[in-house]
Amino acid sequence: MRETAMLTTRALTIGYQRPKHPPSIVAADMDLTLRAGAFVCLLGPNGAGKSTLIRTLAGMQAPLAGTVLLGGEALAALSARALAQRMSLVLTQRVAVGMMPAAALVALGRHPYTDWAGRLRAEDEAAVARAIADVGIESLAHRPVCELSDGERQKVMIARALAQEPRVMLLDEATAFLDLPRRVELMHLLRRLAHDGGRAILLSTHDLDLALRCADRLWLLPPGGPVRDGVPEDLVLCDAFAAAFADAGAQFDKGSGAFTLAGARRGTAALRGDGVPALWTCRALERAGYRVLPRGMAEPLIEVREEGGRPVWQIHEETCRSLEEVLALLPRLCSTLCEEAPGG
Amino acid sequence: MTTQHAPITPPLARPRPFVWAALLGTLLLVCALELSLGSVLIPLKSVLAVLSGHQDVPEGWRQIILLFRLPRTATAMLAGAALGIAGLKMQTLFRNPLADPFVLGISSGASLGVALVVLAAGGFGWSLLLERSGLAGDAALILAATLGAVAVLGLVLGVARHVESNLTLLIVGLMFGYITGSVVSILMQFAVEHQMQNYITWTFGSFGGVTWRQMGVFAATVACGLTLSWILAKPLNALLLGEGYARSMGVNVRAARFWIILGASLLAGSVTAFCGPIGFLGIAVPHVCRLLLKTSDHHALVPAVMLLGATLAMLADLLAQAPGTQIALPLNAVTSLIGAPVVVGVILRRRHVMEAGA
Repeated sequence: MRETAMLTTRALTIGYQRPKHPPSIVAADMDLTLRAGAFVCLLGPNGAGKSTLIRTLAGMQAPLAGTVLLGGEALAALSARALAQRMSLVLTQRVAVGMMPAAALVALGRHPYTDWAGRLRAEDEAAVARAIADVGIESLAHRPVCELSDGERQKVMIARALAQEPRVMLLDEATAFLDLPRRVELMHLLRRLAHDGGRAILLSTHDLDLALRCADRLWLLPPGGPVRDGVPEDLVLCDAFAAAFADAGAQFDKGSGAFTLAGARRGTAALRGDGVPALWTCRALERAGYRVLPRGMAEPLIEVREEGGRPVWQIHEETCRSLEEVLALLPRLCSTLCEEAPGG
Repeated sequence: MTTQHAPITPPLARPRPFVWAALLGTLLLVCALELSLGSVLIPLKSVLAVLSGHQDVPEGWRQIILLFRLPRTATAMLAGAALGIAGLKMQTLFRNPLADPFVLGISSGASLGVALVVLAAGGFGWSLLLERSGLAGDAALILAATLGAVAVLGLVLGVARHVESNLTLLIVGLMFGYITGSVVSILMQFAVEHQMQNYITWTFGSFGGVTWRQMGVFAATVACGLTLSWILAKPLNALLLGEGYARSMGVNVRAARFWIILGASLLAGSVTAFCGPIGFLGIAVPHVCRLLLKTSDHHALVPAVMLLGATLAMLADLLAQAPGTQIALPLNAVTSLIGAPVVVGVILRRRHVMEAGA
């Protein structure tokens, strides 16, 4: 069953309009749909217009052409209050609110529901408590925001966005300045919030690997468009993923699902061995610019084995005790190999 | 599907009854001192007798209290509350702990008006009138300062309608301040000594120049500004998170900004017009209140800033009068001399209160 569409764009063209200048178009003619219960990641290289798209979807910036529909209503026709009751935002910027308990910051999310004096009714307090419980920050609720770590603070901001009881949540690089465990945690949290609460959540991120693993769908925004929408694995298999990041200094490797540095190749090497040492040897070789091929298809052959619980590398007659020694030895071996077999 | 959670009350501001009692108590104490101390010491009992309408008090004391000390006290309280609130609003709007009520050039505009009047007075032979008539001269200065402040306010609000970013607006305001400041300097270049003296006296600031007749206008303007800021406490709270978040929570940022600037400028402008450009109070009072109440919530800060602002303004006025002597120090010197070290000490101890003015 298809879930209901929460946020739809029709022939949306985004960009910037300055007086006495032709409009600078960031991406044109986008027909996108964000469905209830879906966690979508917006990916694209720097400068492709992820933030512009988020700003336009959030109504912070007018589209150059086309419309954004929120639950069937045109975004531009909604009042600020009505919009805030349907959609909430989490931004990259670190908020500095000083001495305010985290719960009070979450309660600010009730802004579009409270009267002019901002008094919290019983239902507002219930919504705040629900948001705090959903994000799992009960233990932080009474601590001042200025004493929280960046990750905790961003969770509080997500709880605040939840307290707005939105159908759609937009997050603009909300995980950008967090460390990896915190990013993984937040990604899973957002996924759960989308699936359990029937919300539509869109996160723009640079975290390709995490997005591939967590998102229900991806929106790929290459520089100049057009935007591609699909299930992550489909986008990888049809090379849309590689194309979106094509002209960057890295190449997307379908085989590993990761980026490899597109530097000059320094040669090839074959690898024998298995387990963790072999995995990290492979990474070290790729980082240093060697293409790692199956045994027999390339020279020199590097054998990884364990001696007394420590990895040891055997290359021809040489034995290395660390990858540093391996990497120092390889250029010499490769050049002699090249002389022996020119063109090989 | 939704589970029931035990209600936890989100404490926007933990009630701190002792702090509030202390704020109120200090206000009353300083108010009593302000009425009783001065060049002549009038016992508190007699002050109360005069205020409650008893006739068994020396006529001289009655005159001093009703014609001088009471309007002076009222002026100090209104001005202190006004400057504190204007500073609070500017610090939140611009998310800058160093913002003060005059950051948008309001006082510079008032200074320009006063400088023009002081110079024109000399030119048209009004200087004798200005110097001798005392109160009438003050009225001319008040009018000129008001016009100057309103002119700058109009310019700033005009720019605010066309500018998206608060930071841009802040810089534009600062530049207006520099421009009017330099025009004042150029004017003073052509001033003769007593004109310059008049101008400098005005820049010292004083709570003693407002008569009962002028008090009506002053009090009404300040009351408008204070009411406006009470109404704006909710959008101000949202603006703590910045413009982007405020907008996403349903705040019409441009409208809110317009009313915040208008309210703060009414307050700062009227104080500058009636009392001169009084520094320090506007920047320090909000910081001290945040520390005392340990909150950034404007619903708590607005009344606290009013109380503390009024108290500190009266205290500064008391010290400037140096009770028991005939000396009167410049009010501005006292506010800064005492207040600045306090703020430095407070802020060095609790660094995180400096976070974005909050």
